[in-house]
Amino acid sequence: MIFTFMFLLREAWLNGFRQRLMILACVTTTAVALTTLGGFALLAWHVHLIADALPRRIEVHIFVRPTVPRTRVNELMAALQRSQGVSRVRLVPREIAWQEFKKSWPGPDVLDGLNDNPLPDKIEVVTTSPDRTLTLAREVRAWPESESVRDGAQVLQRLLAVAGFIRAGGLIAAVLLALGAAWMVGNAIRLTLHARRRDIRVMQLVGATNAFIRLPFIIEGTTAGTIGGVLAGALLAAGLTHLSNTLLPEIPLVSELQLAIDPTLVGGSLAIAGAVLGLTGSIVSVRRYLTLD
Amino acid sequence: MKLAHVSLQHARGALALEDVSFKVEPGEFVFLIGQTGSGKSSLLKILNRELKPTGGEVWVDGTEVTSLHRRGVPSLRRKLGVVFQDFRLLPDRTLFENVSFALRVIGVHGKPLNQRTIEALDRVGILPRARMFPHQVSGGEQQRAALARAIVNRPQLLLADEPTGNLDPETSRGIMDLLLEINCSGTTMLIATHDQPLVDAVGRRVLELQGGRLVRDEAQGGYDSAEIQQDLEELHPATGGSGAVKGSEPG
Ligand SMILES: Nc1ncnc2c1ncn2[C@@H]1O[C@H](COP(=O)(O)OP(=O)(O)OP(=O)(O)O)[C@@H](O)[C@H]1O
Ligand SMILES: [Mg+2]
Repeated sequence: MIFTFMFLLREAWLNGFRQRLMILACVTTTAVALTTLGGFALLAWHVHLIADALPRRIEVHIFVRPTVPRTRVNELMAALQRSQGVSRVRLVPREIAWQEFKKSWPGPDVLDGLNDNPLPDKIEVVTTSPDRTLTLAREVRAWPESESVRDGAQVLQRLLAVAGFIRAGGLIAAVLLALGAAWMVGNAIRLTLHARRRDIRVMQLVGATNAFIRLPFIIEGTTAGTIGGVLAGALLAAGLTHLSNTLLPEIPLVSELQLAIDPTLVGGSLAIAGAVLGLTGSIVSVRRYLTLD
Repeated sequence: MKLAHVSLQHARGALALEDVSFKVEPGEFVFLIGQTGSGKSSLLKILNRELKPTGGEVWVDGTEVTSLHRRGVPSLRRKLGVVFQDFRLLPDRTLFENVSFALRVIGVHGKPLNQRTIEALDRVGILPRARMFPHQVSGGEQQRAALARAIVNRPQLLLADEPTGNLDPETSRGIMDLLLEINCSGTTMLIATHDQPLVDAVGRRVLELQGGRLVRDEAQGGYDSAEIQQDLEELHPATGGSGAVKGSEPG
């Protein structure tokens, strides 16, 4: 059994070597497809993370003008607490926000010139319904003490629209590319089958079973797919590490987040995705083009 | 092995076989002769299910071949050894690999694989050529490699299509002796050939096809039928066919 498998592995390797250009094309296509797929998945995931950090659908965040004294802030909070449709009111004091911000800032040198805390106090209000969120937001925007108001519904809606777009567009692109990759693998296997039709015929005539004849081709396709997946994983992990070190800290909101990438996880899942693509492509091709009997 | 009323119509061709019936007992050595296009290759291909006849029944070792399910075909072919008319050696493998291939396919590996391959190559006398590729050896050597591949899995029935085609008489005789020797160890033989002198010299059972019909079945025949040989002997007593001539005998 083991020996037979070794023989089949060697056969797969020989097939692959004879068709190395095709295999290269397979690997490349799979890699491109999976990089795109992985890229979109990670983008969607991060948009999701950003959305998580923003006010919820039933939250209103009020940024109080820095000139307003803390006592007035407390009065405002008490008023909010008393008003209808409000379930919770919380203060995020500017000192704490400032500390958090300084901690998350990668290079402290930029902030050295800023001794004063430029951040405002923030009042987070949780309402009982999304409708109340909207009316409350309108009310507090009229306050002279409020500098800016973020209401969850608005921001989140916009973000969700973006996320939805990314997700849908990414999904379509990724599915198309994945199909393309599987098709490439299938096609490469078809060419290999054609190139090896004499061997296949002889194998059949000396009594080889279909499984025995098919396996090398399936191994070949699966391997090509897996290599493509690993390449995609490596590419993506490298690219994201680069991004998170250079570009991302410059973007507001995103800079507050840790990039949640585990390179081995990304690489691993893309390798598995590649294997599945290769397996599917080669099985379909072998079933279709390997004439039996 | 038995054929009953077998006929074969090629896809776009003439009737290649028509109502052919005969029986071969285990261990027999049978020549299948006939003019080119008379259906010899077609008949052999029916036996290993390369072709399906359009009518009749074919029995090999208790299995009815024509109705055999696709999954059963590999096990049928493992009982058979076939020397193809066009050898069908794989050009990118050495003779050793070509022969051992037939064993790989049925799951033999390691030491037994090497041993049996070497044995088969040695038996047909091309062991010194084991590491060569088919294009590096002569036609006769290729033919012997094809024979080695056919016998390496110790088949019950050996089908050989023109195993001495394109060979000089001496080499042909050598191959034929080899076939007889293999037959002695119990393998049933069905050999399609044009090789008149050889058929005459060996003097074994002869089946003759003519335009797809079985026209002769002689237990110890010559290439020409007994009557013709008698005529020939009357004309040229010295050059008559060799071997005892008996009357035809149904299979
Ligand atoms: N694949 C095919 N399609 C159509 N006709 C075929 C096919 N193979 C063989 N034939 C026809 O069937 C008939 C028998 O062919 P076959 O090859 O069995 O003859 P043969 O006796 O082996 O001849 P030879 O001695 O030349 O090898 C011939 O008329 C041939 O043209
Ligand atoms: Mg023929």
